[in-house]
Order: sequence, then C-alpha cells, then structure tokens
Amino acid sequence: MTRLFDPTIILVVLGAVALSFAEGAMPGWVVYMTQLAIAAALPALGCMIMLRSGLLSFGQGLYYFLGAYGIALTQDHLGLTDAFAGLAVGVLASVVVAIVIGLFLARYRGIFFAMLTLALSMVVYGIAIKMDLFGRSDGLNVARLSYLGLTPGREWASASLFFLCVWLFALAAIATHLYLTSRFGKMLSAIHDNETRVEYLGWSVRHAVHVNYVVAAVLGSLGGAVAAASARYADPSLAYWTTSGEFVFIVLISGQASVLSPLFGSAFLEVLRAYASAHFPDEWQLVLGAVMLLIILFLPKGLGHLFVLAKRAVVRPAGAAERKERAR
Amino acid sequence: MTISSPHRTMARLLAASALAAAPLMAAPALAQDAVKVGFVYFLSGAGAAYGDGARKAAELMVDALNEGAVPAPYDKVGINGVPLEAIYVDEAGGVRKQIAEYRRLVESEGVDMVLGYTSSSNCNALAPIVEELETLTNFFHCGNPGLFEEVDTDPFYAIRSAPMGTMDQVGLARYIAEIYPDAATFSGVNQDYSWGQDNWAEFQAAMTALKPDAAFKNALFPQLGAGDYGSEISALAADPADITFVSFWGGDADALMLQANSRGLGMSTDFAFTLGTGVINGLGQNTISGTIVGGRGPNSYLDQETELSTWFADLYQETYGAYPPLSAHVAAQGLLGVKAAAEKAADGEGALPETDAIVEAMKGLTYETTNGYPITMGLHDGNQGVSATAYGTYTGWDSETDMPIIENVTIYDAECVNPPEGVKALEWIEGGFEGASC
Amino acid sequence: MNLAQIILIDGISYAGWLFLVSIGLTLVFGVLRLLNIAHGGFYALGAYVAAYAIGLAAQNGFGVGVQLLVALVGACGVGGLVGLLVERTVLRRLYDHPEVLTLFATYAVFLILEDVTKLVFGGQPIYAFQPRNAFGMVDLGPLAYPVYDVATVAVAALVAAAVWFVLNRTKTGRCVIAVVNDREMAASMGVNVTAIMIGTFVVGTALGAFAGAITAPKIAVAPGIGVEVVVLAFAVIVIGGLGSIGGAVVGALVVGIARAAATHLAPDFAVFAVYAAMAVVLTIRPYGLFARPMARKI
Repeated sequence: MTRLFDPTIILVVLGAVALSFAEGAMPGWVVYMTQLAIAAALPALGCMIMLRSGLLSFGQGLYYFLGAYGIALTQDHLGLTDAFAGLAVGVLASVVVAIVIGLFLARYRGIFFAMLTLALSMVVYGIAIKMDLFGRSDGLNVARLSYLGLTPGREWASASLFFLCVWLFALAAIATHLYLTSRFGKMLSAIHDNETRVEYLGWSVRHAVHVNYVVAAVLGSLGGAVAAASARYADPSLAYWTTSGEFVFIVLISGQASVLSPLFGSAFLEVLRAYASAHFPDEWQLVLGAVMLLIILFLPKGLGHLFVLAKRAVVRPAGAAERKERAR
Repeated sequence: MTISSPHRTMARLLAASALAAAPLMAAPALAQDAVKVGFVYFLSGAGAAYGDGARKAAELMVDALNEGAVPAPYDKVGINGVPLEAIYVDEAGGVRKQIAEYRRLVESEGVDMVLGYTSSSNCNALAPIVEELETLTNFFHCGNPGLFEEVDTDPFYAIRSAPMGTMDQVGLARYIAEIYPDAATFSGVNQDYSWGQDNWAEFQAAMTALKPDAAFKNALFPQLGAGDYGSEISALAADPADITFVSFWGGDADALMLQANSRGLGMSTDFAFTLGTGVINGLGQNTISGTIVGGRGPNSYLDQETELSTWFADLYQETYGAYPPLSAHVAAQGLLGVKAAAEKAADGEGALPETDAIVEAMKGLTYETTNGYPITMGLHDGNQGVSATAYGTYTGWDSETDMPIIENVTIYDAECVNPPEGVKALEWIEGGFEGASC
Repeated sequence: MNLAQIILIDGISYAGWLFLVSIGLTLVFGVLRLLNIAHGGFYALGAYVAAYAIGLAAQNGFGVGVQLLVALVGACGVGGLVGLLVERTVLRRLYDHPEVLTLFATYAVFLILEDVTKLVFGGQPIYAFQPRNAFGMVDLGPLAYPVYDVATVAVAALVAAAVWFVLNRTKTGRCVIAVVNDREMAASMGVNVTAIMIGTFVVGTALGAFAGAITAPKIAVAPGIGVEVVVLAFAVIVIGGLGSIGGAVVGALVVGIARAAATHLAPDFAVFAVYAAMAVVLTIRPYGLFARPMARKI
C-alpha cells in the first residue's frame, strides 16, 4: 500500500488529472500534439526499460505498427470501433510476436541486438507496403472510436479520445514504475552492470531479457494504438527504422531518470519539430539536426540532466561553503 | 466558447510552455485584409525535385495575382480583390507530422484555405480531418481515385481540382491503341508503393479492355529512390515488350531514362512515361527518341496555346530560366480553381466569401488553367475535377526554338478518359469504359 | 543458362556500386566503433560536387577525362574536408560517451548536411551524364553494358585492393589495425590513436563522397538521394560483418545478387529481398559473415 504514495505515482496521477481538466481550454492542434507526444512516449518508455538492462532496440517500430494496425484492422475486419477491443488485439498480437521473436533475440547483445531488431522491423515494413491487408504504402484510415458501447457525439469525440490517451499513459507509466522498482526491475540494472554475475546468482539473464522485451513490446503497441487513434490513420511507416530511431532518441534527450522522462522528451521533440517547420519550412531538418546536436554535445546525459545541474547550482555553493568550513 | 478564468490561465500556461513562440499563437485575422493560404509542397527529401516547381509556380502566381497582372479572367487582385498571403509548409516528414502541420495551419495560423499535398497517403489521412475542421482544402495533385471512392465518400470541404491519375492510364492506353495499333506486348516499371502499384493495375486493365489480346511481360517494382536500375533494364532487355509502361516521377524517372538510354533499351522497346514531360524537363536531348510522353494531364510541353498559358510559360521562363514543369502547372491550377470559385460566389469585390459558399460555387465550375485546357469540377458531387488529357511521342530536339519535338499529339476529352459520376474508376475501366464519349 | 548469367552480371555490377558505397562506412565502424549515419549525406555531397564540377568542366570545353578527374578529386576533397570539420567539432567531443550518442550525433549531422546541400545546390536536380555516355558500351555475354558501369566494378575492386594494401602492407595500416584491436594497448605502444581516428574518419567520408561522385553521371542528382543509400550500405556491412573489408565485399555481393535475382525471378520482392537477407544472416550468424564474435565481459 505504501508504494501507492510513491512520489512518481502521485506526480503521474496529478499530471493526468491536470491534463484532463486542461483539455477544454486547449486548442485542437495542441490536443493532437499532446496525443502524438504520448504516442511516442510509450514505445520510448519501452526502449528505456530495455536500456535498463543495457539493450538498445532499434525495432520498437514493429510494435508501434502492430498496435496501430490492431486498431485499424479490428475496425476493418471485425467491424468493431471499440477502443478497448482494438487495444486488446494490438497488445495480444504484440505479445505473441514478442514471445516468438524474443526466443532468439534474447541471445543477442549490444549492437547485434540493435541491428536484428531493426532488420526484423524492416522486414515487416517490406511486407506491409505490398499487402492490401495493411493498405500498402498508403495505409488505412481509422474511424472514430467508441468506448464500451458508447459512441461519443462529435463535440465529445476529441475529449474522450484525449482522456483515453492521457489515462492510458498514466496507467502504463504507473505499471512500468512498479515494474522497475520491483525486484525483477532491479535485476535489469544488475544485468546491465554485469550479466555473468547475475547468472552466478542463479537468475536466467536470457529469461529476464525475454520478459523485459515482451513488456516493452506491450508499451510499444499501446503507443501505436494512440498514434492510430489520434491521427485516425495507420500506415507502414510506423515500422520504418527512422520511427524506431526516434524512440531511442527520445530516451537519449530526456534521460532515464523516471518513467515520465520519455513523455518529457517526446513533448520536447514534438514542439521542436512544430517550431522548426513553422518558422523554417525549407530548413526545418537543419534546425532539428542542429538542436539535436547541441543537446548531444552539451547535455550528453539528456535534458533531464538540466534539473540535476540546476539543483547542483543551488545546492553546491552551500555545500562548498560547508566543506570549506569543515576543512577549517 | 466561453472559458472560465482558471481555465484560461491554464490554457495560457499550457500554451506558453508548449510553444514559446509568438507567431505560432497568432490569432486568426479578423478583418479581411488578406486571404491566408497554406501551400503544402514537398520542400525536402526526394519529393523536393518535384515540389520545387510547384512552390516556384505558387510564389510566382501569388505575386502576379497580388499585382493584378494575370490575364483575364483572373485579372482581379488576389482573390476577389483581397490580396493573398502565403504560408509554405513542407510535405515531407510523414503522415502524422502532416496532420499536426495541417491543424496548426488551420487552428493556429487561421488560414482561409489550404492548397497542397502530392502524396496519396497524406491526402487519404487528411481528408477526414479536413471535413472535421471545415476548412476549404484543395488536394492539388494527388491522383488516387480511392480518395473520394473509399476514404471521403461524401466530400464537402475536401476538393480536388486535379484530375485523377486514372486519366493518365486510360489516355495512354487509348493513345497506344490508336497510334501504335501493332503493339501487343507490354511491360511495366513502377515504383514499389501504392502509386506505382495502382497505376500498373489501371494500365493493365485499360489496355486489356481496349485490346483483349494484350499480353503482359515484366512487371517490375524497384524501390522508391533506388537510383540504380541495371537489373531492371537487363530484365526488360532480355524479353523486350513492344511498349514499356513507366509511372516514375522526379529523379527516379530521369535516372531510369538515362540508364535505359545508355543501355540502348530504346531500340528494342518503346517507353511510355505517364510523367514524361518531367523527364524532358530534366534530360532534354537525352530523352530517348520515340518515347511516349504524358504530363499528369496536358501539362508542360503538352499545353495548348491560350493567352493565359503563354503568359504563364513566358513568365515562368523569365523568372526561373526553365520551361515550367508539370508540377508548376498543377500548382497554378490549384490556386486558380479556388480563385474562380470564390469570385463566382462573391457578392461584390473586396471580401472573401464564406467557405461554404466557395465550395458550393466550386461544384460544377469550369475554369481556365495555365495549360490551356479548362478543368470542370464534374465528379463526386462536384468536388473532383476532370479535364482533357494529351499524349504525344517525343522524337527529338528543335535546336532553333530550343524546345522538344513532340509528334502525334492526341487530345482526349475529359468524358473520354474519366469515369462518369457514380462509377468507381477501376470498375469503369474493367467494364470497358461504359458511358465514355470520345 | 542465360538467366543465371544475366543475374550474375547484374548482381556483380550492383555489388560493385554497393561496395563503393559501403567501404567508407565499414572502415569508420572498424576503427571508431561508430555507425556513421551521415555517410549518406557525404554520398549526396559527393554526387552534388561531382555533378557541379563536371558541368563546370564541360562548359569550359574540357574533355571527359578532365571532367571525371575534377569531379572525383573535388568530391573527395570536399567530402574529406567536411569530414574533418565534423570530426573536429562534433565527434571529438563524444568519444568518451556511449556509442548510441555518437550514432545520433551523426544522424543530426546527416539532417544538417541534407538541408545544407539543398540550400547550396538548389531543389532542382542537376545532371552530369556526359562522362558515362562518352565511354560507350561493351558486350557481356547476352547483355550490352555501359563501359562506365563495368569500370565502376573495376574501380570498386581497385579501392578494395588499395584499402587492403594500406591496412596490411604499410606501417600506417598496421597502426590502424592495432587501434581496431585494442585502442588502449595501441596507445601505450606509441601509436597516435587520435591521428589514426581522425585520418580514418576523413578517409571514410572522402570514400562516401567518392561513391557519390562515381554515381552522379548515372542518376539525377537531386535532394534525398542519400537516404536509401545509408540503409543499403548498412545492410551490406551488417551482412558482411561490421568493420570487415572482406565482409563488405561479400555483403555487397550477397545483396547485389539477391536483388538482381529477385528482380528477374520475383520482382514483387525486390525491396523485401535486402532486409530478408539481412535478417536471415543475422539470425544464423549474429556477427555477420566475416566478423569474429566478441567475448562476454566479466
């Protein structure tokens, strides 16, 4: 019970409540951008938990793709516009795929893990652009969602989707937080530090990596579902390598301090992109690249490190004075 | 909408933290001192070779319209006397980014209309959002029949003044049947994505409908932006068809033509490029003689001389030192269409009519374009344009006029190459063009 | 059979190009342990410089020989210079950081290079087909092939031989190999590791630009040409084994022949073939066909 009073959990809930109330005052494009940020934050969260065990996945786009098409195909082939049915289909597909792929992926480490995940997601991309089932390269439109039999009217459609996205993220973030602070979660960091030692302690690293991969896949597919529901569109580019790369980048710029970091990172990226394309329609890539580069060069620990630095700037002078005092 | 004050503070806070950029937050213009138009073209990536011409034409047209320098019937300043204010947006970056950009244009910049989108996936994804945000949006270039046949079946705010791509394939098949009656075997090289795949399917169907004994050999689908077509050219050379159908565009089209030319493939098969005028723009005399060329309609070198088309071609050449490519014509056409509709709907000069009135005026409208062939908004309840199309055969270069020689130019009426109202394009082709009048 | 011959010729021709595109990437990875995504940007830069130089030379009445020479030297020079600039301003500061950070730094450089090239050379394609057309054609069994494409394969072979020679038969090359095997040990033996790393990066980027320059006469040099290239090159060196020169040769042949075979036998799968080949190789031999597995650290 005491874990529910964890500051991270309280922060997540408060944030979700605040966003829910703010919705009415947000213009449509801000709502949409927030949803996109949430969509990207979920697979990025998956990348983050894999990074805890030292594994870098360049193929989270695969589950992003599955989650999005879970929504799209449930509508097209089961005739269900229900959000939860679509989510369930995407998650289920992702779990199955992740269990199968994870069987042999769990043997790989370092750059080989990264490359194989990338190759697999590109294989899916290569298949999807050829198949009518996925709408080929054009992709599929997604209808407005209904929620457990309730179809919100036009004025409520945008709000209800926003609530779903926000609370879905809140739940996923809380669950991930509990997962990371559990014994299993702590073992992941131990694997990162030294996996041979973890095995000497009697745990199966391969099994742990496999489980972690499946959890990350679920997060990825939730993100894909949010993306498809928000854009009302699913297309094969969800599985393209640059999409996966973006998730890794989000974790890099945000740092890995908390389960909220990826949201922070993806929101930053979303705003940056909007800003760059609004002011520099011809050079927005250049601006994006330059800001990326500046962050990497001067804040290699991510934007989250700014908080640490700020804290240090406040605390250090006092600490330094204290130390001086003590030296005397 | 009334907002209570705590909400407003929250909104301001959110807005400030979301975007610390004043111009992004600018309120929609109140008085009609300018018509704000969002132009969305490919400005980066592989599409930029194509979007560059569109953007140049848009800039040129906006300036000319604001000076009132365009020949009649477009001689009013801007749109109905209100000058134009252009906002350019890059179409590259994927579907989800485009939706964000579109929403920003409409909800933050407060544009009066959006003209743009070349990629069919962007058109498909945006159409439902266009209807929701109730902003006039002219999909100036994407050609997939599916947009109004499957995605947005009851369009109002989404209009498309550009004729569907179907016209390219049907026109070409008719041209081959007429000018190359002996051609019996066909191969295809198309980029491996929806556009290329659909075009090949439509061409096969159209050719079969006109020549039931048509035989199809190679159907090759290299990757978009592949750059090297050695294997494809070998496959085509090993078993040459009478005609090789190509729906490539941009740099890919030029590269394929160059490489086919240096391998002498033009000797064993006749190429048919549905966007062939674009290749001539780039390669000039290196275009293989004997290539059948189209221009996504009768654009660029296939245009017809009118006061407007001559004015446009001369001004473009003067300004940019190049003959207007087909994307320039299409971009100009997209702007002229909404101008014509708005001025038809207007009640006196000096203000932009309501969006709904413009859309209503657009339905069924026939307007002049810079290629000399008028467009009629005749399909899908008047939201889809049709026009005549033209094909010709490139046979060489006229060094005196510094222009390509295109022979056997044949013009097909709009009703001859476009399906009638209420019939899906592919079904119309497969059913033997019922209701076509040629 | 005729078809097998055709596939082989097409495959080798494509492989020659693939090798040229990949060699710089694998070299840089071998020495700097860095996957340089900006490689595609250097390829595009080289193609643009070459196309521009060829046009300029042709305008001034120089023959094809001079045109090509100017193009290749110019591209390598510009590519190497920009490479040096990138190394000194960006990569140098990141060698102590995790590899993935450097990877994204090169991605950022790629984005910047793309737009800068577009701003410098404009959005319209530029062309430089004169040199390729001037060499004519040669009969290769059932096919007529441009001499230029055959020469490209020869150039690829030459580059491979040169790189092999420098690495294995010169003192500098030995130092490079020492750095590849153990950076700290090499440093303690008196090898100037920094110089080797700068040198390799500059050579790698110059090779990327060189590949672009060689390709320029057969394509329309337009925005966006570097994007697909970096993915393809990546597939090639992953299949061959990262950082291995022999691996790049084999990888190029595998991908080249796979694509040629797919084009002739199953054209619907031409795109898919490359990634499928990569996934299959990685599943069977995670370290690629040529690289040695790394030991697990305790």
